[in-house]
Amino acid sequence: MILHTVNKSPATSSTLKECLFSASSGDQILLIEDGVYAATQAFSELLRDDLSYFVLQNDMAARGLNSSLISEQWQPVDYQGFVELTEKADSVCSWF
Amino acid sequence: MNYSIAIYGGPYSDQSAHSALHFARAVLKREHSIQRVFFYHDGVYNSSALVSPPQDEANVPAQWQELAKEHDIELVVCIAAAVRRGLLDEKEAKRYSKATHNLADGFTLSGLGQLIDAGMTCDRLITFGA
Repeated sequence: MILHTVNKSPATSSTLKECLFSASSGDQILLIEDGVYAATQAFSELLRDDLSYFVLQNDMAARGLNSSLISEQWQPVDYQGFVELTEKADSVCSWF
Repeated sequence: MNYSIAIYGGPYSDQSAHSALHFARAVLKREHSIQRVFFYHDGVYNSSALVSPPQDEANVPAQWQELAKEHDIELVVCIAAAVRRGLLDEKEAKRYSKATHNLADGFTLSGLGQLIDAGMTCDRLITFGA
């Protein structure tokens, strides 16, 4: 299982789309930095149902996003949670 | 586990060096080790000894120096990316006949092989892109 990190907003970059196109079933996606905007309801139609989705809550808070603004597929994690995800994954692929 | 980190962004141009710092601290808090941080592309600007941000702003390069010293982490800067951006150690300054050098203490100029080596020998290599 690969952990994919995405750090660009889907409104300004195609990195999330490319990541979702390339990911294998069972992989995990973690949004960081401007990537966290992808967790808002506006982009929920992009998501596949065979992946798990995480979003870095520190970067959400820095951009004024709280849990009421994000789709239910996304699970907020802090930096400790980020490290835990990297521990469990076989490798980490960064999309930027 | 043994981690390495690659940073592609400059200290005040985007968030990557900041994110990497937070991540590195969390890695150490979970009792993993960090072998190497590799600075590539504009990430090499994190190694300048002349970085002088306003007093109420974080000095990202200084924070990397402190963390590396405290936890015995190698701070490796891509030599090709650094020299073309005007980041020189004493040896490179002599080679290019420059009057001075500006690589901060604790950072080492080395080749891209160090990034490949980190990918091959560490349990995890995490890249923070610009």
